[in-house]
Amino acid sequence: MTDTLIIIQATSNELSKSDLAAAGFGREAAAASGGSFDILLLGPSAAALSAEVAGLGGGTVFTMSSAELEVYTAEAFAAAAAAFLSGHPYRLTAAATSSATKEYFPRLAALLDVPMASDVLKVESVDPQKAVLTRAVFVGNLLATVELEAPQALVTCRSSEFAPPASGGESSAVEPVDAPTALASPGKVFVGLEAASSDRPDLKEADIIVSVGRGTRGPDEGIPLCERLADVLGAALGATRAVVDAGWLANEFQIGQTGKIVAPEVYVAIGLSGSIQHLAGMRNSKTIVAINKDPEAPIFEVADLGLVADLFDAVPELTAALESRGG
Amino acid sequence: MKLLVTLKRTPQRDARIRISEEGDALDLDNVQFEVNPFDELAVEEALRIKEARGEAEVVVVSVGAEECEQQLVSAMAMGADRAVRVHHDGELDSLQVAKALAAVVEREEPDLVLSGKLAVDDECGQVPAMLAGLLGWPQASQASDIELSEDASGATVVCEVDAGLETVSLALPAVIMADLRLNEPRYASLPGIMKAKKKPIATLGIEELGDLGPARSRVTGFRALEDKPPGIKVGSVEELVQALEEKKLI
Amino acid sequence: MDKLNTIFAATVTREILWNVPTWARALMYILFLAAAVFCVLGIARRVRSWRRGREAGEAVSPGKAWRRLWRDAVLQVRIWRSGAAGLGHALVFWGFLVLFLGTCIVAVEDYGSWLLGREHLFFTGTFYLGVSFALEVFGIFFLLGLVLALSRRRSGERLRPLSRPVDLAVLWLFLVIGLSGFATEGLRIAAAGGGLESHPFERWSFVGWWLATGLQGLEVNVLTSLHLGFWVGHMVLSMVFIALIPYCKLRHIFFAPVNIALREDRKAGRYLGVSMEEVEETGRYGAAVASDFTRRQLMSFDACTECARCQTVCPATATGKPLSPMKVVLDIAGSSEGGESLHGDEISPDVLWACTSCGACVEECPVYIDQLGAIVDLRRHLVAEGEIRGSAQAALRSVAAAGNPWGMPREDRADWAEGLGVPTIDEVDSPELLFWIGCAGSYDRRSRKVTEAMVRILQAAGVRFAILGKGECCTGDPARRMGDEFTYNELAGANIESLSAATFERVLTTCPHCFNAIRNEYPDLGGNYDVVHHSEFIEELLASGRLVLEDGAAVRGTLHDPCYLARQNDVVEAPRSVLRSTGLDVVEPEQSGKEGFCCGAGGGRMWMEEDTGERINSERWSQLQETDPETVAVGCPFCMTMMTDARDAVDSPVEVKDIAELVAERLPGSPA
Repeated sequence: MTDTLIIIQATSNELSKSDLAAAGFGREAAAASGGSFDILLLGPSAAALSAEVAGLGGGTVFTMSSAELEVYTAEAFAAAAAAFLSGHPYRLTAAATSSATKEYFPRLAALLDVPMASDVLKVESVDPQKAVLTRAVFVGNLLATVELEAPQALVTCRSSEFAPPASGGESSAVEPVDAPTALASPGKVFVGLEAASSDRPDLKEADIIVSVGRGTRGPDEGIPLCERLADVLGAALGATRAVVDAGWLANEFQIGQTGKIVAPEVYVAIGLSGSIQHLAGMRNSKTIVAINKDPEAPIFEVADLGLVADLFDAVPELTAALESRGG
Repeated sequence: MKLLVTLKRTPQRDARIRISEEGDALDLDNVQFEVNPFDELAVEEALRIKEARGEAEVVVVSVGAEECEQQLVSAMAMGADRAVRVHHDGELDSLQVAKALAAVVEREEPDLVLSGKLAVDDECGQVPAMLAGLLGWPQASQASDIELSEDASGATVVCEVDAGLETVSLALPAVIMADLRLNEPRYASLPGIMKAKKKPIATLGIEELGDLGPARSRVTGFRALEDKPPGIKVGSVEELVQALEEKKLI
Repeated sequence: MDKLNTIFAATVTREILWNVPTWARALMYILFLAAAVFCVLGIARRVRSWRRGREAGEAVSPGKAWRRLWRDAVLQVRIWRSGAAGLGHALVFWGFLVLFLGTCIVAVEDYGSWLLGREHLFFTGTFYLGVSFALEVFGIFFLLGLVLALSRRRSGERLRPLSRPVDLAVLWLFLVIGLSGFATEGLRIAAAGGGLESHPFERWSFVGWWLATGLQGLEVNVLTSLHLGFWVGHMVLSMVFIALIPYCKLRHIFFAPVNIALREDRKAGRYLGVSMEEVEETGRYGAAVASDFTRRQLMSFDACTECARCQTVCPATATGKPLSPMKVVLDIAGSSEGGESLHGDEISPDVLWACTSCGACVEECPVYIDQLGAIVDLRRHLVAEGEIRGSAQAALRSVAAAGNPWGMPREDRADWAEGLGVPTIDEVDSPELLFWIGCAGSYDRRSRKVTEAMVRILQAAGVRFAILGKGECCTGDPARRMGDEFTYNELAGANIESLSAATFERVLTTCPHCFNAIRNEYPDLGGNYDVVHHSEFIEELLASGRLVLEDGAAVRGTLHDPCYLARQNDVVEAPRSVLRSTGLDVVEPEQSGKEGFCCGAGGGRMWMEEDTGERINSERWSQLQETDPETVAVGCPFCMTMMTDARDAVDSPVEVKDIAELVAERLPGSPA
């Protein structure tokens, strides 16, 4: 039992980047354990996606769908995966971290009575009795080495850390499997889904935030330039208290002691000096980029990357450079 | 009705966490602890449900050594009625904790279990869903809104999923996990703190709760992310883009 | 001689209740009885409502009480500060007082002579003339005061959003009582004894005499009928007034002097502590209902004259926030007879959180009501209910957990001192000064420059000083102002422990909030230290010659007084004197010193959003700009933040600098 199973949720007709990354994890885990990896497509689009998934370098692609898997629920997906795994014991069973796997993988672990590691960044080693993995703890400030001491274990993996396997290899065999019956919990009913608006991401959730200060000189001058940059980066827009006070942006954009407290991967501070009230709201950001024409601005003291420049030149230039990268 | 809230003692949000010299543990000597912020949201939600229904018992439960009673007291200072501490001094993995909690749930027979969606220290986010799995109860994760039916037989929950907001309806008993936007926790007040001192904390020995199995998930080492290099100033937009690319940030 | 004889004859008096028939006298006694019962019952109800309050505080010695009464009740000293309104009140008050005494004299004379069976007692001759004359003079004062008050209301000179029709009615009632009194007198002089010629000495009642001369053409029976009519009117209205006293703002006639005499001796910056044992016992904390206040507080709320001075000076009211300190006081007083919750639509959390704790209301109140103390007690209830959310709650949590309201790491607290040669307390043996840095001075990059400037000054003056370093934590000021006594006690207790373990002569602070807490509030917890604000200390260094500054070009500037320095702690002159020695030409804004206008950051407001009305800091900034300054000097890190933000909001080139920075710039060898 040296093989890895990757579970992909097949509730839409498209593979996502993270599904590809999960396959990348499968390849790494397989390499570490000296085995191969298979893929289980779970959900109504399993058959439709199987051809594409068969090109990801896995051994076998299993497809499972049924009326009860039509709509995702943690209860049904965990039960289906448990049923499959009880017939096919794998060394590691993994999926990309998502809102779904965050809730059904631990449930699955409980059903199978196996240990689990969440949101893994790196595979260190996989032996028959022990898998060693690296994951982030304490808001990503520390890395922890986790040992799963069991012949079977579950893993969710962070998709940004695993490269999709190169396509074009041999096509895997596709094997439909029957879904067990009475999967869905009678106690859970899916009512509806309100799709996220296509606007910029929520400040609290965003990986990247472009934050604007008084130096932008308002909604008729610098702020549109920064908004364009935010759009190119897929970033949320934030602001200092001064900008909100001036009425340039609404209250909900305010970051700082009396506004929102954020900790994105990248915080791009444009035309803001970095008062303590503002720092209190963003100092835990992973990487802080500052663009300000005043080299003495305190924001440079906390910035990882600082650019002393007039934002009216630098921001459009940066936007153009990122656009040309095809970002 | 009875509401059970699970909570974890976690280092204070702003605390700077250091690694022990051997690298296999955390140096938490000078660190202050608090109720895991997501669990605090769960406590607040339980209290709001109690207030809205006029009558309900809120029981908080934690697994850990004696010092985690401080956090149970904090929750009772917010308004929880009583606490249960499963005594264990040492490491447990998520599944063991979930099993211990499942045993507590079987004793307490609550109508609803509320938890935070994850603990801010290990960020695993496994225990509540494992608990639901062990109990065979329906679950709702990352809840941003919870509405109980009048007869408390079910709940409609809005969950923050990757694709947007998902609404599910659950039959109780169930496990619901609180997300950031669920509510804004109240401040544990002075009379609350005073009253909390008099509220009961029942202690259960972990061995009373049946076989939890071995710990099969263990953290064996910690590493700091490479020390954040001192900030650098770049000379041009071009250099900035290059630096961002090097850091894999774009 | 004839004339003198006449004047000094025993007939120099008047017949009391002349021309008042028995029915009218009976009416007077019936009405008086009714009015007195009404009045006494009203007062008794108020006093009963006070007695529901908690017992707390120390008694005031009789000597002190009388001195206070003499100064602020009789001489009206405190009220003089408010210009025309003060003059108006003093005139009405003195007029009223003397007219009341006059009435008492008449009553004593009347009943006394009746009891003793004598025709007169003392209300004759010179005494009669003197009293008559005095009553004329003070009667005129009374009327003048009323006319002044009425005309001010007419011209709408002052912001009086709470002035109600009843307030105006009271003034008119007084005016009619006063005028009808003079009319009655004039008619009596004109008609009694056959006319003016029969009592020429009544010239001393010069107003009545003058009226009487004008009435001479009228027939005697017309005059007597008119006299009776006016007498009855005057009497009925006076009885109405007596009956009304406890039921409207007139109650201050009784209660203001009581409060002036018996008020607690406490600075506005020193809050009444809460006993943890009591909270544990009762489960009550803060004011949920009126009876949660102390008896003395309840008594003080009844002293309110509804003059609205407190809300006129309140920075929250002035910038359109829902708070009016007067309304809070009246709302509490209004509910003190029932037991209903004070919190609701009227006293909402928005009202209570709007307070900057600047203490302007307390400073201004003519009858010494502590509005701030009331607001804090009400805030404590919100905290007790856990009703403190958002950024305010975050600041409280940070202050409790990290020892500073921004949640910065504790171990970074002394990072600012790196490389500056600043020793910690364990490195210096009994230093002269313990330099208390404060959270802003430790973490806020702008305020750190002030800390550094102060270090340069201390080093230049050769002062042996040390810091607590990482052992220092927030004084607890923000927690206390926000109503969280528990966190305040924890923090203050920890600091007192650190301070008491060290040996030093004095504590130096650059933050007036730290200054106030350590100086005025720590003693209540057993921490007694000699605390000095940096403006005072620099003044001493300059005066003793330990510090010498270089001359430089004069700069036109102004000073924004920190509330917790000037108003709460009377430090007004030191910063000015220091600034002058740096060459700053200090131009005073209209509101300065103890009457300064808050920057908006006190009372925990530093950590709350200000989303209603105008911004307080912007309002203050515009006030300061009227002095046309090149530099705005501040002496507080909160003021620094607020003034800098307000300046940046209008893109002004004016510099905002702390006193220490301006001094450090003039140290020998400093770059100008």
